[in-house]
Amino acid sequence: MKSFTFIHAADLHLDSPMLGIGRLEPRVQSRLRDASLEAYDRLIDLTLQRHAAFLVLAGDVFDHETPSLRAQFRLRDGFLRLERAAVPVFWAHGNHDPFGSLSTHVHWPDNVVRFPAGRVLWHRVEQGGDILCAVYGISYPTAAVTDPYVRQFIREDDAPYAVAVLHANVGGQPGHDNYAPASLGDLRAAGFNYWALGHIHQRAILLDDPPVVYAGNLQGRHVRETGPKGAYVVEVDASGRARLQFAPLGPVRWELVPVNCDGFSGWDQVEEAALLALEPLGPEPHESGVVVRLLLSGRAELPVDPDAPVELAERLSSDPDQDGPFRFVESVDTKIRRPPQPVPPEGLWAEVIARIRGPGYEQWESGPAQLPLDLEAARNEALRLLADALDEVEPDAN
Amino acid sequence: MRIKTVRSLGYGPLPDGFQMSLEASGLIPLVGPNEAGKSSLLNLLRVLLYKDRRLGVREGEGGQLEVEMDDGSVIHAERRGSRHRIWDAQGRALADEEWQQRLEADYKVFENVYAFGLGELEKGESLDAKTVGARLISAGLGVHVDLVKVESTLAQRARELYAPRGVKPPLNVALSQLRRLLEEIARGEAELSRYDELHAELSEAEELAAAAADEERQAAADRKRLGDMDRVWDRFERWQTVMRERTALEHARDVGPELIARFQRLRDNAERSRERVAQQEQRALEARQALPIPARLHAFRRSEWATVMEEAREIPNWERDIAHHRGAAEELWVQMTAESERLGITPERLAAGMAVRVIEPRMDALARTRQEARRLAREAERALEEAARQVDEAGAVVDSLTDVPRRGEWAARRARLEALAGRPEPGADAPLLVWGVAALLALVAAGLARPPAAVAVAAGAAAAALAGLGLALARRRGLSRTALTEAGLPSRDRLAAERLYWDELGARVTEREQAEERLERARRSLDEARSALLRARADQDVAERHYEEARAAEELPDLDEADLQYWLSRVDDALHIVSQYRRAREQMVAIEKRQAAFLEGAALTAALLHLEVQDTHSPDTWMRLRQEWLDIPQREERLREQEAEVEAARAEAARDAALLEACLGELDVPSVEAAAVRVAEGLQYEAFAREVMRLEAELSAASHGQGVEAFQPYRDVGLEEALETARVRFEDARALHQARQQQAAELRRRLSVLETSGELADLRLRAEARRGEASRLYQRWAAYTLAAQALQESREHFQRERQPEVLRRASTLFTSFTSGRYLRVLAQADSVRDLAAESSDGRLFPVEELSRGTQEQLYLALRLAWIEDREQHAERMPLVLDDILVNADPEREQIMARTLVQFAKNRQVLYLTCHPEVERSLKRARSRMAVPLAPQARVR
Repeated sequence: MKSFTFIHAADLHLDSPMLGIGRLEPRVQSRLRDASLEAYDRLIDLTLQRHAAFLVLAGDVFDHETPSLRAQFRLRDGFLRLERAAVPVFWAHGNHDPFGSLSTHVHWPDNVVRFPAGRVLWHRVEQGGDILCAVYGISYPTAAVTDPYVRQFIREDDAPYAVAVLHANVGGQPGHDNYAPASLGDLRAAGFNYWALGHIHQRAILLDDPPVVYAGNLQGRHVRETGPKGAYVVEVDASGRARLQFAPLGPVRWELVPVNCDGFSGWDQVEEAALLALEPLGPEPHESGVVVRLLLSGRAELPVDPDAPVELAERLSSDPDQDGPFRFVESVDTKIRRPPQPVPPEGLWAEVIARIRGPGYEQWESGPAQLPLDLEAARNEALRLLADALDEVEPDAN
Repeated sequence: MRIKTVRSLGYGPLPDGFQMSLEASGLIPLVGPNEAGKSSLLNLLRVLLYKDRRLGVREGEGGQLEVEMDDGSVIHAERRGSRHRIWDAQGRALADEEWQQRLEADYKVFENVYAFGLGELEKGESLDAKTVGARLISAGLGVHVDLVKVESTLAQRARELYAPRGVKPPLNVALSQLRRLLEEIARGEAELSRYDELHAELSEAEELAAAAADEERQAAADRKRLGDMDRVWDRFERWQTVMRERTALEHARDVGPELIARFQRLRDNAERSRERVAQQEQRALEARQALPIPARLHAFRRSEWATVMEEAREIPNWERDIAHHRGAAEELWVQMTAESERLGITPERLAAGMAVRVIEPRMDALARTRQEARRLAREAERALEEAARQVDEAGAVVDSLTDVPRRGEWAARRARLEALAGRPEPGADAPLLVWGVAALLALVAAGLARPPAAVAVAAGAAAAALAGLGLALARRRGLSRTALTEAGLPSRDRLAAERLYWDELGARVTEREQAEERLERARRSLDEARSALLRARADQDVAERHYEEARAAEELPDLDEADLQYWLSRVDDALHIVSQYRRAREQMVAIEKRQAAFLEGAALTAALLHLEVQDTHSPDTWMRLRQEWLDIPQREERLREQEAEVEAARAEAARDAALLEACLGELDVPSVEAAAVRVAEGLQYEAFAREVMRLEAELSAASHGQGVEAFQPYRDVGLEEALETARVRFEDARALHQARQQQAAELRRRLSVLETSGELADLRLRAEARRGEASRLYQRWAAYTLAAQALQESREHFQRERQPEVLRRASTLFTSFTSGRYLRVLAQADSVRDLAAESSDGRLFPVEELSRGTQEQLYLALRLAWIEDREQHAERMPLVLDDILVNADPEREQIMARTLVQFAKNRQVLYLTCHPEVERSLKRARSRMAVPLAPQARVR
């Protein structure tokens, strides 16, 4: 067979906002907003630079079923660049951009193959008269697909190499919707040479032979999607062996940075420790910037200052007047607890602790219920606040 | 802490020097009658322990205190008036703040809980004030705080973050902004869903715009066509006029262009021939007029003129010579200036050089000149003195003759005297009178004899008679007395004397005149001498100055010999050049004189020749005249040629006139004028024909090709109405077109925004940021609320279910005091205002419903319980009780006394009383020995 290269990308989530971002600054706002589109442009650049035979998009190209026209036109423009270079694009729709309900307003170029909804279809990829491979794929008709689509993947081609494109939760990974459920065994048994998966945003090679690969998303969208994000360059040699190379493409990297504050008594100590923790984070030369959430932990007697976290975030962000690479601390999460206090086993204090720790607050009625609440964190914080408040009024006693 | 000694320094009724030493713990009764100073002692302890502003001490009063702290250290306190100081055993002063920290109880606590009388005891509020009351409950927490305040603080902070119906708290603000952003996002997404619809609307709008554009173009074309027609409407009217007038000239239609053209050509030829003859004749005349000066010169004084003209030829040479000499002179000046500068020759240096070489030999001559001038000046001075003396002498003579009359006066007087002396005596003329009368009579007689001759003789005789009569009368008036009196003479004799005097006076008049003449001469001599002196002095000044200048020049610094020699040689050169320049100047002056003479002569010659020569002093004029003179032969030749031209032109004019005459015959008209009329009509016809064609072309163009016929419908109604209609139609069409275009542009803009704008993404990102902020605030709000609620619920539960230790202990004491009548003391969590007592049968009695004594027992129980609780972890304080048992019945009094003795086992309790029964109760309760409160009391 003839060797070739293709690009495996997934979960582009074009025009996705940065979910749960703690704050914004005008300097970084447009760069955060455009990060997914810029990552996509880089993906097209990569495809052309590596002379890839084709590009695979394993679902969730758009973040919304009604993507912005800006995103649609940006996507089409990239496809047009590939069309001019005769590079086909294989696009399987996922739960964020289901084939049936995705509303777009552009005409996709002829080099774009959108796999049909709920039905596996395959296409042959040729180069100079040689058949390089066959690409199989299936799209979601709606956002929630619980059918095991993997069972529809049956090889029918005569190509020396076959790539399967599927947006699915393989192995029932927790924390993700269990769409198009499949097991690793199912995939191995289907007889394909490469499984190009989407849906899980943390890139992973689930199996080496045949490669079963989650490319992860192109650009991290929130604090749980940390580290470099990008696509895989898959080089298939004449023997059919695939060599994978990760290409970081996301211009903005998310990082969750823990800072141990054990024994600290002032916010200046926190800032000093945070600066040390932030030092090695970059950004890297290919990145526009890094968005950081600091996680303060440990036991410390810090002065009660509700504004301190936000002020700390502002101080630790790089100079907002510069247009170059940025380090943007979007929030400071405080999980700091007070040093253990001698608590009488009985008495009012013990009862207060028991009440705060106990049931009864899961259904918060008087608060704005549409917002998520970390009840455990709230309990810890309540205890800390209570202790601080008791300290505050103590001098009046005796 | 316990009190070791207390001493009064004249405090209140306590005598100065009163001292009490307390060396042990336990209950110590202090017994004394009223006004023995019990309350003063209590107050003294207060002012010694605390420097509270509420504790006033008069100046001159005070006290001293020595206490032993729980840790064994000894502290001293002293109060003198407003001054209060505390120091330790080492003499180190303790600040008030440090002292209170060691006591761990402020004055309020001490006053209400440790040192009180019945007044404080009966006021339940004195236990409250945020501190004592709260401790009742918070003791169960393991800390000692005001829990309600804590709850309130936490709840307040939660409310500051979020209020269910609030607007301003940050979480409310964040949620409100989030809602607005989500609404904007929804609108943006709705707009997105209309993208295809907008495209369709755009297509439709563009079609409508195109149709409107067509209509606008059409309306514009109509308006323009009608406007163009309106602009050429006068052409249409002209076309109508021309058409009518052309019809009227139909008879001239056959004259024909060929004949017209030929006639016009022949007429023009004849006219041109005539004009040419006139032109040639004019030229010949001009040629003749160009000749007069030379022509007259030919005939008159040509030789003289030739001389003048030859002179004129020299004019440029003269000017050249003058310029050359002037240039030479200027060049010389430049050379000399440069040479002087180069050598650095200045007048001073030159003078110095010259002084050495030129002036020195002349110094003797200058000295002599000066000497001579001085001598002449002295002589002039002497001459002046001599002249002055002569003036004085002559003046004296003249002054001596001032009474001598002047010659005029003298001559007039003398003449008058002579005249008087020459007159006859009165009556001496009588014979003459007679003679006159006789002559008159003779004349009368002659007249009577021969009338004509007689008349004449008579007349003569009459005249002679009259003359004689007149003379006689005059003589009679001559030397009368009146005349003498008028002359100032009394008599004729005096007249004679007067004449003699005046004759003799004539010699003195002459003498005076001579003296005055001498004086005048002397004065003139004086003036001359004065002038001579001035001149001599001026000459002397000059001589002196020359001499001094020469002397000064001798003293000037000298020039270098070589430079001077060189410069003198250059001066020689310069003198040579100057001599040349002078010669050139002289030559130039001679030339200028010669030129002036020439111009004068030439002008005279021109005047003789009656030439109209302007500016005869200008050499240019004479040069021009000279050239004209030289041109005379050519001009004569040109005149001859011009005259020949005139003849030729005349011949050609005759030939053309003949041809024109023949043409008139063809036109069948008698004269050129008639022919012109005929031809003009023919031409007019032709012109009308051409104009019609031109107008029709214009009208056709203006009507955009529709021709004259397009104008015909508007002959009666006019174009204005149609034009206005077209204008309105065009304006409507244009407005519609613009509206359609704007509509399409707006749609394109909206589509463009949708296609390129990151607004929706921006909104989503901002919404996420706002959601993040709201979540963070919500998390904080939840923590505060959770803490506040948990504390509140716990406190309430604790209050309900688990009495705090203080209340429990107070209940025990209260039960003991009341012998089991009441079992429990109950209180709200934050206050003892709502105290209640639970009786043994389970009924609750609010404190105000209890008897006075029972209330006091309850409050005492609470205080003792509180003190026990406090002193588990704080400095013990002495308890000072001012007769608080007096309202208790004997049984309860005994119980309370026992309780107090028991309470005082580990602390110091001072009980102040004036009641012997109380003292006895305390004794029965095994208190320490009572101390009589009197001066110099001492307890051991």
